[in-house]
Amino acid sequence: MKKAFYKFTILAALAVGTMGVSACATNETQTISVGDVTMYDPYEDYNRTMFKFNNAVDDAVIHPIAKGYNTVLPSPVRTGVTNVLRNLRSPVDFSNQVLQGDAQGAHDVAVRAVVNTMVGGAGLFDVAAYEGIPYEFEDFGQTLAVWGVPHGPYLVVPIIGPSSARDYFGFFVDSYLDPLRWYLFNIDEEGIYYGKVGLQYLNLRASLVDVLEDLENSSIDYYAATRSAYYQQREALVNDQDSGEFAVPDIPDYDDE
Amino acid sequence: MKHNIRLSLVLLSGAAAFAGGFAGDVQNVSLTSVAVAEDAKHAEAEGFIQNLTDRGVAFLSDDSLSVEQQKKEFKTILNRDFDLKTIGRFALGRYWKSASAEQRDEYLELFNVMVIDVYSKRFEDYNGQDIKIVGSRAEGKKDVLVSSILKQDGGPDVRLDWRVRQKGSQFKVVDVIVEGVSMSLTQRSDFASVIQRGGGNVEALLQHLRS
Repeated sequence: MKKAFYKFTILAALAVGTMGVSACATNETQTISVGDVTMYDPYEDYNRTMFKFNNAVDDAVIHPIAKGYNTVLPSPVRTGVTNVLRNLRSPVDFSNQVLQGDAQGAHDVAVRAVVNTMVGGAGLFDVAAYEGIPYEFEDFGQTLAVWGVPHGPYLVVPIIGPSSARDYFGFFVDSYLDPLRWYLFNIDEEGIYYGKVGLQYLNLRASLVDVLEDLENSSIDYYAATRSAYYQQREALVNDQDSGEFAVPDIPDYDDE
Repeated sequence: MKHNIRLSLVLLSGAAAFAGGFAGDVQNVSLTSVAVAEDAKHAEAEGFIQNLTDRGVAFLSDDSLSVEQQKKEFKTILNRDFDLKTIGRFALGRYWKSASAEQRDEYLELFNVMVIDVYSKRFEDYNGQDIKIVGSRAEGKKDVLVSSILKQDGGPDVRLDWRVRQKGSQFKVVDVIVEGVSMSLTQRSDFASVIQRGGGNVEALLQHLRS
């Protein structure tokens, strides 16, 4: 535990450091904003290179596997996999709800975990959602956002894809918040943990096959469209918390002019 | 096996509605209470989207239509129920001001063509997704944001929000927001980047749209 906290502190310092640098390095052409929240892309050249690299890997390996996954597994099986993975993630979702001070959210995660584990066949069926408690994805990046930490620079991470200094940092914290990881590492079964992470990745990518194809087809600059979509989606996740409401861009009434 | 989350189908199925006689039916609510008027407007907006999606689904599942017929219908509907001028202008962002009158006209024309081309490619991918209206809220001074859920086989539900604006006696869609991602804003980010990287001139975007 102590070691983890130590690492956490270093990562936090790093993240905050990067954000400081980025604030100086930005200029107007590299920002994206909705409402009062802004994201910067000071490393655009690097990010574009990485984006190209990721797409090349994706085209050659990941996309075909994801398509195969969708083809081979019938849809109820894929839904089951999603449900089990979500259920296994409950401790992480729970911790983040608590850290965000969202008592209702934490309560919902706990109820969902108990109901779906006991009644839903070890998480295979999302019984709780039918009962009116839908799944809510929470991660440490969102928790930081709730605490007022800005995105920092936009980052395209190798293989993982679009992220930001804040969200990428959160990604690591989440793995430390996961008791399953601690348990599996303690019994020297790291392989199972990494297998689970791999399946999570594949499951997510497979569910995005069509979305990403559409985004690529409908955009001229796929990099810019992806950056915008990533940013908006993260904002929606952060703001969606209880109310189900989120900020939408202001579209003026041009007839007024 | 065919599947799932169809960003474009969403817009498509919405756009594919014939607004036949419906959109003009805005009730003239006596203003005894603003709240009552607001409620009525929300109900109208929800009805408008319900109608749009119903007809969209009907149109997409009609196998008797040829691709050309579908495309033609889609075009009619898009022009009728979507405020493409507002969407197009919003998508151009601050570069609208620097564009000449000729560039603006050409841009709007090309934008229309682009939207139709992009979404027409997706006609055959439709496989029975269903859209359920779940509520609405006021957005800004004039607009209503109608929320719906796209139900699909073997994938998670997709949250869709339709930004509806009253134009005279008609409702028009000015934005579709998929899981928090605004199509109009994403398009705007895309176009802005193309223009910036092309030296800050709208001509750079027009060149891409022409090809």
